[in-house]
Amino acid sequence: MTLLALRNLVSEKTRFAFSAAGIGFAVFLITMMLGLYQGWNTKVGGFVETVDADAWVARKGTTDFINAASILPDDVGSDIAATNGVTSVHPLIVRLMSFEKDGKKVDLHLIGYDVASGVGGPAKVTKGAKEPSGNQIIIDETLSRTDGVKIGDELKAGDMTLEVVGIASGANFAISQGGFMDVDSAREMLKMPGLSTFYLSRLDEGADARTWGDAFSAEHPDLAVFTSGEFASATRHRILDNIVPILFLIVGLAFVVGIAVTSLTIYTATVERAREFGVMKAIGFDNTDLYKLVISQSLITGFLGFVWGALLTYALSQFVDLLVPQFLVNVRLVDLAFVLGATLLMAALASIVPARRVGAVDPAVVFRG
Amino acid sequence: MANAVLEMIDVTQVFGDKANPTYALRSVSLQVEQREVVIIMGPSGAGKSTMLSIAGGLLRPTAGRGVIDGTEITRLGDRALAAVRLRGIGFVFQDFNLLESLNVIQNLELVLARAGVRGRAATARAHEILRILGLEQRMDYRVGLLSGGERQRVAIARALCNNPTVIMADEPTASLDGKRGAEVMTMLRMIAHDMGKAVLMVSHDHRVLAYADRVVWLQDGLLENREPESMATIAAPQH
Ligand SMILES: Nc1ncnc2c1ncn2[C@@H]1O[C@H](COP(=O)(O)OP(=O)(O)OP(=O)(O)O)[C@@H](O)[C@H]1O
Ligand SMILES: [Mg+2]
Repeated sequence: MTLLALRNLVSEKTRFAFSAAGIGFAVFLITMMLGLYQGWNTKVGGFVETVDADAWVARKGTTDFINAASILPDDVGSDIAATNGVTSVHPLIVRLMSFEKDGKKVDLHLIGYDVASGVGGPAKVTKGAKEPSGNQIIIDETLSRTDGVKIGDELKAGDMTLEVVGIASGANFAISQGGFMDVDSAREMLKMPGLSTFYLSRLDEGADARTWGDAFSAEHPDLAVFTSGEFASATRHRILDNIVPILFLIVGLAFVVGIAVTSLTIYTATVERAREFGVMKAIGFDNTDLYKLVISQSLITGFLGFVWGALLTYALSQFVDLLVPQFLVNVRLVDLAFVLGATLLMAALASIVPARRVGAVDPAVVFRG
Repeated sequence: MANAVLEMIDVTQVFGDKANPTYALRSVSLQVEQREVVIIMGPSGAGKSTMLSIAGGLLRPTAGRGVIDGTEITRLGDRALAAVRLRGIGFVFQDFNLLESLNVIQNLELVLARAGVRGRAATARAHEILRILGLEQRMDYRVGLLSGGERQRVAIARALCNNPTVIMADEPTASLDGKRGAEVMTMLRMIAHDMGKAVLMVSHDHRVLAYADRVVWLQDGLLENREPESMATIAAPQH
């Protein structure tokens, strides 16, 4: 029966290719969307996660890393240092800024960090200087690719000029990218002497960040404390909550289109072969056999579509990152397995209408002219 | 009749609704024995195909019974009926009705597989039958590449695969020229006489009468028995 299903499909190459391509396109869209979701999910919160701190302290009302309208005076730092269980405290200043490079606008999240300890700095410097000082800045590699910023370039904003000295990885926040400076130089440049956006605290071995945070914020009701994990996940949500509904919509549409295309092609093929199905019934095949035949055809088409869609996704994900670095595609094996399941479900659903048509074929047609 | 493997008893078939009924068959009875070739003749619209459909378990009659190999098929459900058609009956059609996307041997293996014969056993059985029908050179041919006569022989081979008791053929020579038609008739006769099958066949073609053991005449849904000889004399051209 599988052989017949295959032969039937192959004998209609154009139609077979068309329906496989339809499914393939749906697979491509679904995989791409899941990949995009995964990519964003890992990268966006990734920076916060890699920062070597146990707790993030900010002004109350701060929700996440990207949306931080927090300004803290330096006595917050000394208050944190004075509490029990704190190993060290490090200031971090974050500001979304627009620079100019050779007349072109370059947006980035300026991050001033404690260069001496490295806490809050770039996760990995891939090129150039590892420790910025003065007006030096290390930028994320994505920014260097999208905006063509290189080591030695100058970024200007108002009367300040920054010199790019290094390229780092791991600070792509999808909606923007990070640029790292020494915290004191950043304060000076932003005219925020002694102020910080966050204080990062490292706790003593074995101390629970949540417990410490609760105790600290009880004494400082105007401050909010997040554990590193909480802050990373809040940052993720911030970005993903906006795009997830769109992703879902696209995935849903792709699914429906995949079903429709397959259903239509299998149905036409079925109608055209109605007499052949009648013959099969006449010579002793029952409806169950024919349902199996139709479903096999559909599943084979679906599987081929899956392979083709997965290959397309793979090929494109190699380039999409270069073309549009904001598209952080990360296709995981479990997602592929999920898409395969969805494809086969799609194929099975697509065979319902054709199967009903086959069920209705009257075997007595064989003796009619 | 001791060896009647196919019986139709008082079969009536009415198509259409009460206001506008078409009587395709009116209380028709017929018995076909093993090793017998019975040909149903009659004008167009007489009810010949309808009779074959009921005898072959493709259609349940309005009234009356059909029995194959002692099983009353008119009482069976769809699935059981399909099983009878698979194992008990071999069908041969005017326009061959082979599965075009499969080759010759695959057409046979498909029906063998449905009856539970697979792998080497299926291949061996298919070879055996194709050899009997002189098709051993064509086993791997796509159906579309065969001539009409060869296709009809493949159809006969397929009909014989599962070793049925009855072969039913509707106008098996109508799409063939005289020579191929004669070949097919010789085969059907051999299948009845040498292999012990009952052959029930419908034809318009007077040239096939020479191969019949018995001819029945159907007109306006009524059946009448005739000897082949007398048929041959009324019906003009002999080949
Ligand atoms: N499914 C059906 N619905 C309604 N009427 C039918 C149906 N099948 C057959 N008939 C009618 O029953 C009568 C007998 O038809 P049948 O096909 O058995 O004739 P036939 O002897 O095989 O004719 P032919 O030699 O043209 O094939 C005809 O009047 C036909 O129109
Ligand atoms: Mg007919």
